[in-house]
Amino acid sequence: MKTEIDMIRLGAYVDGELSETDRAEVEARLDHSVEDRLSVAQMREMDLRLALAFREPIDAPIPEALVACVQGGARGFAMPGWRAIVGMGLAASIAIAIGAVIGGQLSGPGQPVIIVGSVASDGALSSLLETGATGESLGPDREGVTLMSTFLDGAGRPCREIENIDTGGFNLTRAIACRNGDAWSVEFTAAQSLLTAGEREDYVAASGAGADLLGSALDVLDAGPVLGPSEVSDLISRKWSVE
Amino acid sequence: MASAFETDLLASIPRLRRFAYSLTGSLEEGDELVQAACERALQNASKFRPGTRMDSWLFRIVQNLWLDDRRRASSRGVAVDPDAAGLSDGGLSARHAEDRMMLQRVREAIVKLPKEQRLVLVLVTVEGLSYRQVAEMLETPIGTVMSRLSRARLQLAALLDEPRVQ
Repeated sequence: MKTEIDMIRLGAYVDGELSETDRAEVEARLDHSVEDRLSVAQMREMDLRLALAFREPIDAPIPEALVACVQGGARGFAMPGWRAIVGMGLAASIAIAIGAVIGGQLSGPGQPVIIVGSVASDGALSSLLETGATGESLGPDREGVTLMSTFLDGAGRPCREIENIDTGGFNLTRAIACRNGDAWSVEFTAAQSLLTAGEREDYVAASGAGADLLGSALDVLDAGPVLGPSEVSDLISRKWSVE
Repeated sequence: MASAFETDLLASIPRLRRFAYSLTGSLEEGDELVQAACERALQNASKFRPGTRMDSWLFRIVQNLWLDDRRRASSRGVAVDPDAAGLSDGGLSARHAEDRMMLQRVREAIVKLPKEQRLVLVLVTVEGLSYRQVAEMLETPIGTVMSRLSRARLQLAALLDEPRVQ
């Protein structure tokens, strides 16, 4: 029976990912192992089936709706089901939330886990913001608070987009935390219902230009390009110094 | 007159549709995902760095939107309906009924894979990205990519009732 390492190596051979030396070693082994040859053949057949199974969009014309979208005919489209909670904390406008660093804790049922204000330096969120790579979460398998992207804002501050699904699984909170000096603070949050309108009567759907609150927040912050993994790693190693 | 960005984006649509189709198992859902991704890309066009790979950037947008959607679906207990997905096959993928059935089984099976495995499998085998490109896109060590890919292949074979020789 082959080990997982064996299977990974055979897979890398099928995918053309081995060095010349390693490829020669695998081919020498294939000469003597019927099982390995069968494994390789099965992988290649499966890859072919996968390629064929999803080929239709490559052969078919682009749907008009998508052409219109790219050419600007459908600007303002938002993912179905996304609803901003219009209630305490996010009442009037996004501009109020941005930059309003509230030191105190908000409370009450239904509040997002991530709240606007300074992030405790000894907490798990601070640790994640300080040292986590983009995509990293407090929990396994991208569960819990997750780092979605990293960028510099117009003032040159490192900022990180984070999101979290509350423990009840009813709200998705998106937030932006920026580094001020040696500490992080959450400067924007938007909670979105994961329920349909019929399931929650107290939610009001955002509409028009206000639908993409996070996008608006990024505009107000004058967010720069999303930083790549190596750029984030470099910033972490320099303790977020952008000098 | 279309900008260079819009021209490049339009040229990427077929691959984005294939990627979204393979993630969702449904052409209709996939196109909704691509439309949302186009909107996101256009909103963030100023953040795209000319000279970098637009396809990787767009794939990442699709991936993030899809993961968002999976989380919401998971919290609501909503699953992809393979039967509904099957209605989307217009017969373009294969000429013979038996082939179509097999390809449909592949589409049904892939949506049962854990989402992280599905992503890696699709990016490598359907989109033809290298392990390094996938690792960079998912911001994951290359060893993790290889491990997830191997497990995805084994699990897919099991789902298709074709246990891998090992």
